Amino acid sequence: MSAEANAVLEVRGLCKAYPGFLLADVSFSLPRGYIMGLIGPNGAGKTTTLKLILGLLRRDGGTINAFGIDPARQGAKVRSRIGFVHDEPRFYRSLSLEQNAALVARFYPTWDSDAFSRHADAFGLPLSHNAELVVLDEPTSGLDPVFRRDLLDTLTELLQDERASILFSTHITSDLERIADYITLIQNGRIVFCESKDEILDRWGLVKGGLDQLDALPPEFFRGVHRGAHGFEALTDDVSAVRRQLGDTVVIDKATLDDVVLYTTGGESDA
Amino acid sequence: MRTELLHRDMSLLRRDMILHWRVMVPSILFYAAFQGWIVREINNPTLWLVFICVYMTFLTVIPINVDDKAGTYAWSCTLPVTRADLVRGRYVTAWALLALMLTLSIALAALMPGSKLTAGTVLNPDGLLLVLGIATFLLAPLIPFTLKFGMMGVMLMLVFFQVLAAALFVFAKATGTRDAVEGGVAAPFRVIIAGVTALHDYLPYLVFLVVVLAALALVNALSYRFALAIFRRKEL
Amino acid sequence: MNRMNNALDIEGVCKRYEGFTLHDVSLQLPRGYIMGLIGPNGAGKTTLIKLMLNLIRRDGGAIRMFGLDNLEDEAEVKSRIGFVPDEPRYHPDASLSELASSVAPFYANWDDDRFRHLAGEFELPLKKRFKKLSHGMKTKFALAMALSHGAELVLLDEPTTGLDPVFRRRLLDMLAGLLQDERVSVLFSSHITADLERAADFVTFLKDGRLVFSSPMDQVAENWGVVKGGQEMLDAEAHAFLQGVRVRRHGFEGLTSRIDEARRRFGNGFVIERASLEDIMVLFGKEGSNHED
Repeated sequence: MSAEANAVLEVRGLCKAYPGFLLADVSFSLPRGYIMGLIGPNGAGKTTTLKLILGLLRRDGGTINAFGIDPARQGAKVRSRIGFVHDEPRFYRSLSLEQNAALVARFYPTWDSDAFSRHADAFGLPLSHNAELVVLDEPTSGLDPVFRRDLLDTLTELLQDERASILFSTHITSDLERIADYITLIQNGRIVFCESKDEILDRWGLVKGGLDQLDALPPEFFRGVHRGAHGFEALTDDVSAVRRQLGDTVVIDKATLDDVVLYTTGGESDA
Repeated sequence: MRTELLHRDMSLLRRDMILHWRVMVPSILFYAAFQGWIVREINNPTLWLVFICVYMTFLTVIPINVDDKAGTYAWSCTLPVTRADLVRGRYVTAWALLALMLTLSIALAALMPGSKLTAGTVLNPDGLLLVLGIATFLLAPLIPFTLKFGMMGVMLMLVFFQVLAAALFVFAKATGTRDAVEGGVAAPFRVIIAGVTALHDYLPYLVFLVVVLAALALVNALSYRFALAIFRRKEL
Repeated sequence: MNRMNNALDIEGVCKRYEGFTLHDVSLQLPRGYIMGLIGPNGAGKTTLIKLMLNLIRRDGGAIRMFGLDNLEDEAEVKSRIGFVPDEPRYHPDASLSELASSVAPFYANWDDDRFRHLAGEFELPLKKRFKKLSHGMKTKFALAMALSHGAELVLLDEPTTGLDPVFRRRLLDMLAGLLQDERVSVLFSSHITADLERAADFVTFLKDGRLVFSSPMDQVAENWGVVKGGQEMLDAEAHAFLQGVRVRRHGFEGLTSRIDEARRRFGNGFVIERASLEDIMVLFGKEGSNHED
């Protein structure tokens, strides 16, 4: 309970329906001072979730609590405490970066122009008003690793010094492996899991072996199975259980977050 | 090799038709509707001919404008064609559209009830030569201009001629040399017309035809060379 | 080496822009292999690919593909290339099937069944106009176009930007399949170096318009290493031996292309690990800018 009391962001049973898309019963909470990665295929509902948190969309059900405020009721107040980095930043094109910054600064009582000049790029604006919660919606697509590493360093600094919390949606899961504390996987508008990253990387694994070994195990051992002509590859969320059952007859590799997304979102699982 | 070039020309023409019919069909229909009306109103066949030539010619560069605006030259240049093929393709498409619209105009002149014109207005050697001549002299600068400057090219060309005319007019008025300036501007046209008329009168008609067609072909070829030089420099 | 067997052979290519120059880049890609092209934004990756396609004029050097000069035999070379640009631009108002049909006659080997198959596999709405597609869909369409005329060399310029891991993996599997079945060669620029580590046989690293290296992926993985240690351990000798040294509060990091020698040279207290492509890029990116934070 204490963890939840300390959450900057708490989402419970969030629903949003569009024609052809349903965000259903999304729940997670982000404790203060931590960074959560939001992953999932295109169209899974990541951006919709983030927009609901910012109060930019009207939700159909559930509750959102950001710093004790409901963004549906007091959107402006919530947004003044959130730094939002968009996948395609749209500021005023005819103005210079500095003019844009001056324009934005008026809306934030906590504007920090030093922080802005430190990150004088598209990330500068959102990271410059001492936001308590930084929300990033695929900010790194198209950016090179050098720049991405800089951004990750910046985010880590924010966590340490300013007690900010971060919600980070991205397709580049190796970046999350580097800095995230929690990982939330969304697929088809539903939460698949929301867990600590270390636990995922420790407990989850890729199992490779012959088809007869696969059939010997009950299917609940695996979160996703790819069958080939000669053998199988499967994702397990309990490496030690599989090892107890099958011992050395199978190869168990560490699973990357990419593997986790790949196997849990199905694809061609014939099992 | 020659069939290979022809195949590329036809493929480029076909591609232009597929990619541009959405713009061209309404434009040509509007043109036809206007023609349907004007052939019943206009009395002077030569004026009509000059008018449709100017109108048609500007319509033929629409595909170049659309490509330029959509930024699809890079895509075109990844196709298995050379830049020369692409530039030649622009001329092929322009002349094909011109032929299509001319056919339409002739049909309307001949078939529209109440038309004061006949198919014969165009369908005689002199009429066709006039169409070819005007279209050539308009397209020759227009295609390179449009390739270079896109949408702006056409505008620039029109603005340039207007500014030039205005400047000359102001100059003439200020210096009181209006007659001289007007004469100077008209001189090249007079020379061309007089030259063509002289050729027409003194040469056997067949020879006259060959000479004029050769001159027009030369103008087209020069325009193509110029357009190619421009397009070769284009960085995409 | 028999040069005719190279799908791609670039020799001393230069391109000068105002404020950017691609200097003297040379590399070879043998037939039937995948080469990854990496480098920070602005390193010259797109410029290099555009030079291959003659989309921009080169200022020096030579480019041969399948043994043919890319300018002399432009049409022939391009008929054997499939290209996926970083931002596909087709006529916005044309439908996908119109766009495909508009290029089909240019290619002797255009395979309409294959195009329809790929379109189905990528769930492309063929009746939709191009401008209605999302960025990911546009890339998938460009990919379907590039793979439908029996291309022998496929050039991909950051095709995976904004694509989710599921499709990225499928793309890599598909490219691997092409290689096996049809001896297709692939040049693939990407910022997601993990994808390249998984798929590429060769890797070429450009930085500031210069070639840093172009070598087999195995060699990069075996030879490059990261050396870490406490700040006080970074003496002049270590500084001279290492590249891209980065000094921070809790210690230093540096890069070596001779990990074995580094192991002999640096003993106790140093941590020496194999370098990932990302490590190489990040440390090189910081070269000359040691920030003490």
